[in-house]
Amino acid sequence: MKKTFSLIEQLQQLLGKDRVISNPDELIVFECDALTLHKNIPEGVVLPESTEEVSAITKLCSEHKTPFLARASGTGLSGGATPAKGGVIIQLSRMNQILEIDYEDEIAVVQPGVINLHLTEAVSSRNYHFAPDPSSEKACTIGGNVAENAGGPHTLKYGVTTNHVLGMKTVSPTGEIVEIGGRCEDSPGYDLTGLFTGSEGTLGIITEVTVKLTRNPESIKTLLVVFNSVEDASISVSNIIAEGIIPAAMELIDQLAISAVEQHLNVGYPTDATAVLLIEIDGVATSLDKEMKRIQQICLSNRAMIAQIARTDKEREDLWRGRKETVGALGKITPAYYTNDGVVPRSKLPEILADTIRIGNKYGLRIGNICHAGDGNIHPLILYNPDDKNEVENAIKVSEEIIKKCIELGGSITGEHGVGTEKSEYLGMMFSEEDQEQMKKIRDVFNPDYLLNPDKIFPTQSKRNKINLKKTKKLKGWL
Amino acid sequence: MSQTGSYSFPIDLFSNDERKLLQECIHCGLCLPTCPTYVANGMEMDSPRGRLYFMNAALGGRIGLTDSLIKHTDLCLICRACESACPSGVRFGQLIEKTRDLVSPHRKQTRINKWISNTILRRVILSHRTLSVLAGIIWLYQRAGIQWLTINTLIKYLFPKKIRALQNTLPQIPLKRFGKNKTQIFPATGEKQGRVSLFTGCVMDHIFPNVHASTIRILNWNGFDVVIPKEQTCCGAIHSHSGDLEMTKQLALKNISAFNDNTFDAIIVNAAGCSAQLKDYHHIFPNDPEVERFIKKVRDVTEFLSEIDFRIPESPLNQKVVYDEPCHLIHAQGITKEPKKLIDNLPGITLLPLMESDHCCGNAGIYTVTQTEMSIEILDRKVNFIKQSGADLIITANPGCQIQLDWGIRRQNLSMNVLHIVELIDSMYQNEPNYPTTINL
Ligand SMILES: Cc1cc2nc3c(=O)[nH]c(=O)nc-3n(C[C@H](O)[C@H](O)[C@H](O)COP(=O)(O)OP(=O)(O)OC[C@H]3O[C@@H](n4cnc5c(N)ncnc54)[C@H](O)[C@@H]3O)c2cc1C
Ligand code: SF4
Ligand code: SF4
Repeated sequence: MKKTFSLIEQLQQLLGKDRVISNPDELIVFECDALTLHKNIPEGVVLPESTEEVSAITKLCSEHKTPFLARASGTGLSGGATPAKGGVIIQLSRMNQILEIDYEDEIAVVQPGVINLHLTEAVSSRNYHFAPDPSSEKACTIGGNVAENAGGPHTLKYGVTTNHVLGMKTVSPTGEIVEIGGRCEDSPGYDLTGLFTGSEGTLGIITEVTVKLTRNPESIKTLLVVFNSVEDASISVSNIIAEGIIPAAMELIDQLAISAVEQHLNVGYPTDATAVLLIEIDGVATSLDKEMKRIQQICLSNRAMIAQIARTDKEREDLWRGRKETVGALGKITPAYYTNDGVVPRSKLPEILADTIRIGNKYGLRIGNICHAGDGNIHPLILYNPDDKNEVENAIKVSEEIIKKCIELGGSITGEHGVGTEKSEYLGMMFSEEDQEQMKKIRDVFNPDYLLNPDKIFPTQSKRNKINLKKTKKLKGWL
Repeated sequence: MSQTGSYSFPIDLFSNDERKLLQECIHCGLCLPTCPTYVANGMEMDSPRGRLYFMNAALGGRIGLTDSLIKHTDLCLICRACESACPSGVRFGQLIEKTRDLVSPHRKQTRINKWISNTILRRVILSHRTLSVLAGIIWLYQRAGIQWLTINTLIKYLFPKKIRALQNTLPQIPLKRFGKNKTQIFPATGEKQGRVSLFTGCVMDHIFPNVHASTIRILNWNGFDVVIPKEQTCCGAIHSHSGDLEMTKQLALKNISAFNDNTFDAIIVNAAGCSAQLKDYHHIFPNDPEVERFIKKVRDVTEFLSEIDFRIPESPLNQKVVYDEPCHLIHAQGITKEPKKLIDNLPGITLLPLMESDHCCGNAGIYTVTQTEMSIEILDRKVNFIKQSGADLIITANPGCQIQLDWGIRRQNLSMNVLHIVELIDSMYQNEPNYPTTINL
């Protein structure tokens, strides 16, 4: 009699036992990404090393009708890499080679598991960098950035990930290897590269990406402005853009967030400031001084107390390190936090920031704020105690009210983190049933059986938000 | 499934403070790419975030003391690179040592494990006499070659098979050793700047007596009397990393009393692993003023040399070097600028950039023995970066790293030297008139 093998056994035959994880004790570490509110344990995790292996894996999973999804560094904040329906996680950390760097064409071809910052480091000696710079840049992968269409502080001037992706190699749920886009700016036919970028791992698994490299600016100036009120800071942001100045980055950090940063990182933010703006301009050296002066004037006319330019590279690096590691530093002031990435039109920034605090107060939760102010992209940092069921529920309610408010103000539910499991139930706030059905039709062309990364982006039939408190309670510190 | 049984994790042994520390991890993942074991195998279980997740799961009663918990705990190098990377300041080293301590009675007692914890850690390295005899045997062995039957048999009898296979990792053992029969004093040359004591450790005396000699000479040359107190002993780092807290305490007490002399301006240490451990004594004895006084004086030699008015060598040495950063300097003590500046200021020396110079070399105490495969994988990666750097000489500041790097370049048949930073400086002073050329060991 012919023996039938289970999926895990077949995966082990394919990759060898040491690249298949199926011990339940070990699988628990894969139950969530950086959003620890949503969890589910996979049945297995595999670590492929080539496109062909990914293709063989997806084929096997499809044959077994088992759900599967890609996972990279697991820094996602919307539950994208959480195995919502169990199944197999395709962990891409071993596919981390930079395959080609071409300075003439100013492109690089990389495997999806290359760490964002590693690409920049690899080309920095030639004065290039990879422009998308999410705050998680030292850990997140380029594959993850493409999947989430990640942005960062410098998105304001340089655009999000999709503006820097030219082509990719993808594997379909049934194992076909498909190349889309190319090495040039625009390929004929439908812009599939654009469609795949930001599809949150629901259309195919990306196994190679061709990205643009960006030349470093000739000169950079970074300004730290200290304000007595969040409102003054956010009005300054609108005023600067209204002047026709587009800084490379314009970030707002409020007092609570500063206190977290300064506890451990000590990068030199004034802890008594109610809000600071971190403003960076770059370009040809000669034009910067004038622009910087104008920015300083605008801030001072909005009651800024200090507007100081970083004097050394070290000072500049420290300022950025503080900003980029704010979220990570929250551990110093709270056992858990929850953040979303709602967006509002820039002019509504003062309003939404005041609202976040008001909504937090209403539910008795502390809220800090950091935002990509120039883009109107907020990150309310909702601090809660994961052992307190009430606080957990309230954290979710606070986030939901803030998202609703963003939409009311003419904004959107996500600026860069993606919808994932986190905001799938909110999609209906923005799109009608018909709109959603149209989008699903597109998904079904690529992912017809919906085995690839199921229960993401679109609302599920089951109870909203799917946060099973009974189950999470056991998890002490983590939820 | 292979499980050692369903012992539940001894939750009560995690203090409230440690639980709080654990909660500081926000699961952001920023530490992942700095972790050598994660870089090597790409598995979340072998990342800092994964290991902290296990600790939390164990504390919450979700997993017991299973093989997997032990395996991933043991595969950690305790290099603390994750601490340098963590924006939340999670004190990972302290947490993983506690976890090791808790799993240690449940570890499968292989012959190697028993041999290490009973014979080596509790007996051999604490006895100067035994170490001397052992070093003598190895010296003979290395000179005589494998044909010498008697020695071969003796070696077979003394060391488990796995260790014999690792004999290649050992550098050539010098004949001269550092004596510790009485307190020794080496007077400053020229104008006196102060008086310091030297911590000489355990195996260092035997494998690297020349590093001690270099340290003494350059300190003398910079105007310091150097005293070597007799009653000192091993710092206890290896015991603490392998989870033997009882022994760690005993050793700490002995050292604190051996250096209790207020004429010492500083306690100089030339092994980063030891300076890190000595500075950590307050974790073992919290809020003890005597311990605090001791710690305040401990200085890694690279740190000390950059605090004093360092005498720049007169004649240049034209060499391209890389500096591989010992984990116990950069991650455990935050000392990274000092040694680089020291090297960069040496005339003629060009300090080249080295990729992942802040990643562990895979030595990590007894890790080479307990986790040989991973240790070699990490080492080979390191040596590849060294090859790419274009340097002729490798500088580091910890004997464990020296042994490992030396082995690594021999594994790949490269002809490069690995020097402790004090050996480099010492060699550059050699031709200056009146430089103390001999040290009576
Ligand atoms: C401290 C911190 C700061 C952050 N700051 C920012 C920020 O400034 N801007 C921003 O945009 N985001 C930010 N994020 C969110 C996160 O870092 C990004 O979404 C990032 O792009 C995720 O990359 P990853 O490699 O961790 O992917 P993962 O989290 O592992 O995966 C994310 C999603 O991508 C899919 N995926 C991953 N790789 C592939 C692939 N090869 N093919 C197909 N699908 C794939 C997964 O299935 C999942 O749905 C931050 C997160 C943290 C923790
Ligand atoms: S240890 Fe620090 S860096 Fe690593 S996941 Fe936890 S908080 Fe983030
Ligand atoms: S101590 Fe070193 S090996 Fe251990 S988790 Fe941290 S970085 Fe990884």
